Amino acid sequence: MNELAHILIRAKKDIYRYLSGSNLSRFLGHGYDFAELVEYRIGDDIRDISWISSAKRGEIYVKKMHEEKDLSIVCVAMVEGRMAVGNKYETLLQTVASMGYIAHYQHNLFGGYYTIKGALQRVEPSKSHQTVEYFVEQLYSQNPLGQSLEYQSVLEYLMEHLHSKALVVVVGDFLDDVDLARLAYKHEVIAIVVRSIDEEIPPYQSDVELIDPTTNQASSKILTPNAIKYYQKKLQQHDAKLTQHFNGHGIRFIKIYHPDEIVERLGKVLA
Amino acid sequence: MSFSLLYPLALVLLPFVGCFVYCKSRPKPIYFSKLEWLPKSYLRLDSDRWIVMGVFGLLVVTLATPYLYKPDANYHKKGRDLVLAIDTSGSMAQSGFDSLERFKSKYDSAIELTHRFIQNRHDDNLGLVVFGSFAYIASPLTYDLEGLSQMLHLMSDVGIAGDSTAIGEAIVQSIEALKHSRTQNKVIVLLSDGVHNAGSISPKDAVDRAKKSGIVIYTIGIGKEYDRELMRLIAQKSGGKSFEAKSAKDLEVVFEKIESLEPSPLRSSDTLNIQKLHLYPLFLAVVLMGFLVLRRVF
Repeated sequence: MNELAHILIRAKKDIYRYLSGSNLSRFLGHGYDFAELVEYRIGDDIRDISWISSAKRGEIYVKKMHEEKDLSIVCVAMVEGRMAVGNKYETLLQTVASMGYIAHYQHNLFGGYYTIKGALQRVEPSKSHQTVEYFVEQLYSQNPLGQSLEYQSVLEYLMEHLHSKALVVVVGDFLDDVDLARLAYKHEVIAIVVRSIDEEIPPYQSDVELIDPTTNQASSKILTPNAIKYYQKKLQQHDAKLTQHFNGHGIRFIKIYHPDEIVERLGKVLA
Repeated sequence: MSFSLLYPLALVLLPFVGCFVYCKSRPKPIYFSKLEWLPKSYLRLDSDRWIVMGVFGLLVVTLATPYLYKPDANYHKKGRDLVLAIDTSGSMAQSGFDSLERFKSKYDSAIELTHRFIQNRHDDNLGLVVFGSFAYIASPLTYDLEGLSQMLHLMSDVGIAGDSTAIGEAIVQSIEALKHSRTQNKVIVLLSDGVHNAGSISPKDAVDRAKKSGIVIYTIGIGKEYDRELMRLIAQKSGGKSFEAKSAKDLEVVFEKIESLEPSPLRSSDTLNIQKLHLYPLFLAVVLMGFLVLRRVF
């Protein structure tokens, strides 16, 4: 069994075993799943008025329900050199496959984008599991090493081309500065931060040559205990800023370090 | 104070310190995500490598054994190689020799005064021969006066070499002790309170051998019952002097007289007053290694 098949089967097995019930969208609309009770405002559909609640309170209240219409899931895989560090790329593949099978399981549309040498490639959305497999296959055939990526230009492109409301799942390591505010204003956005443990806590190694995975160029910098401390401080500052940004714009996010924890993590972020 | 190295050849290892920079194996390449978040490094080597190089350098210096010495202080130093031959026969246990302490034996008084004599011999190399029915070298020639004092306690006691008096053998053993001496002044100080009555070597033969070796014998007769004539002859034939110590006070005077005898230059003046410094670089190397280990563990 080749590695690709292994990734797909594993994702499928995990998702179908652990996932049950429907994925709740945060979009409000017509459905059967109660979301909240709000005061009537001009423009609200009178069919939504909760007569019992209104009678109890003496004011008109409207029941807001979660939208039950088909959800369009757009998975954006940020493929670049840094994904080759540790087991990050395997985690990315497994995450995309898992999201695809979740969509398939829930009869939602699944499609997405991935980057090759900084350019976006589109995977047409469909409800078929073949789309999931095609997407992962395309990603699997890429070698992320030596590829660089402008996060912001990718997001700008998505803003321009994603017209209908969708659940946008951005999978990347988010080590560059990123602004998802505009995207989150229009769409529901989930950020999946794929990292490697060694990337967050680099082990001290005295005799190594550091190579930039986005350019494949060796660096004259060296990894000393003090340099590691300096790096970790920078990373913490960056992550704190990132968390603030996500929270500030209602973006759900998770951090995944290993393929084994994908299902559990996705379960939390989608609950 | 002058500085020198005991094993300067060890310094040929020092250029190998360059191997930590140039002979190192090809470093393992690893991909690092955010190189821009690492600080700029002005040194191509990490601090660990500098520490290892430092440890190597310090160990080489330790091996070369640096030391400080005072050449001037030693070149004009004068002294002699001197062997004390002490009688430990049974008669030395008699008391009444010291008028202040009547129960003190001749042996105890002699040992006490010998100790004082030893303490003042800063420029001499001293040896110790103990004799009774036979003789043995209790300590070879040494400038370690502290050690010699201890040997005097440990290796001698009344009757330790038998109750008789083998003066001939005592002289021969003393000659043996002076065999490797290179000074002009080689001296035997023979302390005895009896008559020659043991041993296979006659005092006459022993004195002849001493004379041939250029050794001067000073004899000290202790008490009143010793063989005055023999002691006088031994001293006279070897070019020395014979002294008589009827009491502890006399013995003290005799030792003072011997002290005033003209000394000669010492054989190895430049090895004295050496202050070896090799422990300092060794200590520093151990501290650096400890630091390195702690840094790796924590």
